[in-house]
Amino acid sequence: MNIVSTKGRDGSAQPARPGQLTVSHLEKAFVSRQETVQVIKDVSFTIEPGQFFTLLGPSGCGKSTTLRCIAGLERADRGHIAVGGRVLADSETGAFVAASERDFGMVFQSYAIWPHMTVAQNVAFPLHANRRRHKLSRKEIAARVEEALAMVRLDQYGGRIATKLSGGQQQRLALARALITRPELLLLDEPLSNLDAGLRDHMRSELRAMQLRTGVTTLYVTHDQAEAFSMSDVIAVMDSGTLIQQGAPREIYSRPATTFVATFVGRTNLLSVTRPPAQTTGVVSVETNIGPVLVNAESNRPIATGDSIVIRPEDLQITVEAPPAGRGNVFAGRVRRPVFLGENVELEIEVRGEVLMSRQHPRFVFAAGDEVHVELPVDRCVVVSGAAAGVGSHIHAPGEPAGPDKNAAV
Amino acid sequence: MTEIPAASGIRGSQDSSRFVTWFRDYWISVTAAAVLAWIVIVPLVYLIVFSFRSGSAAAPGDWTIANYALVYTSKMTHEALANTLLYTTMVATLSMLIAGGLAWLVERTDMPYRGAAWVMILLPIAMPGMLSSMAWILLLGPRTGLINVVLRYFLAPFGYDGVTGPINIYSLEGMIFVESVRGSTTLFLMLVAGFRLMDPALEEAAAMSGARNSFTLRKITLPLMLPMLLATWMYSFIGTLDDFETPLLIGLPAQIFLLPTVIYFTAYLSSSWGLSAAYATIFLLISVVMVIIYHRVVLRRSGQFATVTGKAFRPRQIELRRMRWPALGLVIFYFFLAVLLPLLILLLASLLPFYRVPSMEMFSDLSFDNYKELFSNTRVIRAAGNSLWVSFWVATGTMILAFLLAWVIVRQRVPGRIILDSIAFIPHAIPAVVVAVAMIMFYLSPAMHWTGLYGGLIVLSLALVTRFIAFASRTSNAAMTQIDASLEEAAYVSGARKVRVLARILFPLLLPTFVAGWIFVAANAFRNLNVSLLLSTPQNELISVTLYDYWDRQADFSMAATLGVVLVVGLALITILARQMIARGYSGND
Repeated sequence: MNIVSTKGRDGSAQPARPGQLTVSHLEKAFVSRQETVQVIKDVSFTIEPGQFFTLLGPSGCGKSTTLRCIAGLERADRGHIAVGGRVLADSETGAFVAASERDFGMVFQSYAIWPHMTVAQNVAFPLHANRRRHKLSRKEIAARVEEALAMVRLDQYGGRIATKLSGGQQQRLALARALITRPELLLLDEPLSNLDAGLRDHMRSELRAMQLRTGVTTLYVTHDQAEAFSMSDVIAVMDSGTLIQQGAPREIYSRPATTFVATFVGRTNLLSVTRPPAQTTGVVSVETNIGPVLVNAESNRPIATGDSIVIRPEDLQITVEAPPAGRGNVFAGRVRRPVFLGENVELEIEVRGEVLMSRQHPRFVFAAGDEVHVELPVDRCVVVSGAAAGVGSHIHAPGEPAGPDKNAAV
Repeated sequence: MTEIPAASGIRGSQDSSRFVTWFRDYWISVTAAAVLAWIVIVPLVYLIVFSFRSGSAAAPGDWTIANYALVYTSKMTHEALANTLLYTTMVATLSMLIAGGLAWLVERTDMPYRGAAWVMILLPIAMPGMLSSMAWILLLGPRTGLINVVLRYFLAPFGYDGVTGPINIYSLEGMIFVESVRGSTTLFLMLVAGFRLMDPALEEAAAMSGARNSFTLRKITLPLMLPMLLATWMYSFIGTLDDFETPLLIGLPAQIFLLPTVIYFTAYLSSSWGLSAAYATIFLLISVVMVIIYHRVVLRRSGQFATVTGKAFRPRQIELRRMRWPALGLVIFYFFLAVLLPLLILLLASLLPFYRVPSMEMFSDLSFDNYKELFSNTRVIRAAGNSLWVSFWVATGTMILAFLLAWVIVRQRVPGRIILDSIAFIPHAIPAVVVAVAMIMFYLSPAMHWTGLYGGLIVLSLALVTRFIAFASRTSNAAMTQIDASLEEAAYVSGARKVRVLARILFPLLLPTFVAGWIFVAANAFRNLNVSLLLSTPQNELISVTLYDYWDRQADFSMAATLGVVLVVGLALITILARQMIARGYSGND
């Protein structure tokens, strides 16, 4: 799979800035007696200072291993990792800085709150562990601990045994512990996945607010597209050890590079391209399994058979009356199954034997069997590489589909 | 899950008494409870009662507290208590250190050949305690011990001219050494499990906080492991308290008495039954208190630190660098001490016509004559037959009882099932010697003597069932809890009665547990010495008793070693076969 958007990809070539993380040509395989699994295949990216950068992908895609290589908890087989010009790992020179010497903050999926310590002792540990580096007196440590606990609203709980905290509180405690040394880089490994849904939404905004306030460069790993969209400056989508696409949340959602990205970051309709267009520029007509569809051939790659056209369910225009003649991409269809969901109404619409998924405002009332007209707005049809698996409608990513309006300010 | 009285109850309610109806509904529960009470409660109560009487087991005399008076004032008691305490404390500590070191090397370091190390550490399980004691006597006996002979040869130029020593196995230190090396295997498994339960992220978080390895070990790993280490130590302490074979084989000749050997000595050799019962009662009390502390305090505390484990990342491995190969050397050395050396000396002894001070000349005498003699000896063959019969029925009986008890305890809402659970757990705390003494007294008593059961294989088997029921009951309960009650309820709804549900639904579902438990019980019954030695008569001699007889009464070390080698090979083969059977059983059930 090819990388479409590669901002500052090969960081080693550029002058390093403080707090800038560069990862180049990272590779890692896990070898067991039975098999060798290549978990990371030539991954490169750069995180700018102060950025909230998210690695998004399904479980087993190598995102956590990438994070652990950056943390120093795993040793990559190949590649170069540096922060602000400080080389942390380089397979060529054999350089490797131990995790304990990297001075990063990290929040683990399980929080890793030490059960034999109080809340305050947990937070103070990083300062005690390398007092030489931080050169703090006991008084200063106490003050820093208080400040950190206040930041996560746990100042009332300092003397409590840490395991007596609730899940959300443990999460905030882990964050306070990760930030107390004011690290250059904050690493977050699926920190919200052990929380229940309501708390997860709340912590999402809290985490982002904290990051904006402290300005710490952050690498976030998740499989949840909603988390990625709502918090990140930049999202990098990974699959099977490869970084597929990198860009702003809005770009990832509306201009996916492959069918994998399109289906992973939200529900989508995929139409298989059966014959490439005659022209290569401008608005072109592409033959698909529901007939000719007009798209913008803006991509620097020619459209080929086996590509797919992506169109999001909320972009379909459904009307009962036929739209005025001359509008392109209008198809006659029949409502198969309307599902009223409260916030919106979902329709399965049969168009020439294919089923398209549409999401409309709940005020629209449809019944099964209604004859409708479906318009696929030309500027909303995106051509991606990779075939659609199976037929017309593909409802891949479960969970709450995040609309573009939910994006955080970039 | 309640018992379902409906099917049978409605039909019978008009014309039969309430008792018959009640019995029809609850007969399985009642029978299981009665059997359990018979094998656990009755003998123990009888033992305690008997400790207040004079006379012999067959003809109890007057009521008296003389037994306790004698026990408390006797110097032997104080010595035995002090010895027992020192012995158990030292063995628990040493074996935990050994097991902890081995577990750490195998689980948390990059030591080479960790797979092979696992096998080397687990192999001592196949070595019965009696045999490793015998082997070490042959190696470290003050006069004829092979290591002593070699040491004397090398020390002679330095002025050592004794005909014994320099090391004497017949000492408390010797006993502690033998038992610590042997007792590490179970602790090793417990500690490995403990290492694995710990979320590796807890240590990784320390590394991310800037802590070096030694700081992390001191501030995070050890404090987190402490409750578990304490629990393991306590477990080992309780197990060693019960240990009979090393005190018998090494302690008795050296006149070092521990509580189990004092009980054996007073009951069996000097026939002071009331006194023995008094000793047993005290021993029982100590054990019960220890077990209660272990479960109430230690296990609960270690559970308190249980942490949410995250993803299944392999725990961080400490790089040993230059120490990688020396670490493997340490494991091999342990293997050498725990298995190889004892086995080799037994093998050597078994090939000699009679055992004597080792020398170069003896190699010309090596032959397989002992093995020929062993396999043609009718006494040995009869004892082996007895052992097989006893192991088979003890394992079968124990597992069936445990299975029914688990069903009653986990699934039935019968009043008193908690009590049943507690009773099934009691034998866990009873030292084997106490079980044996209690059984002897009960079946020799006027109330039971007429049955003629004493001295036969049945009483011996019952005693062994008592010995193993706690283990079997625990594992069966755990397995039964895993099975969804609806599987059983669906069968009731389909019209099946209880016996059919037990036989056709629950038993097949629990078969893997049943088979695994069966093999464990059978193997342990087969190699048991403490219960079988005390309860043995010429009619019910088991193979382990024959082995002890060769060693002790006939002082025929070579025949004892021969039988020992055959036993180890047999037990090892059974263990391997059993493992494969279990593995297949589980995969067939997935």
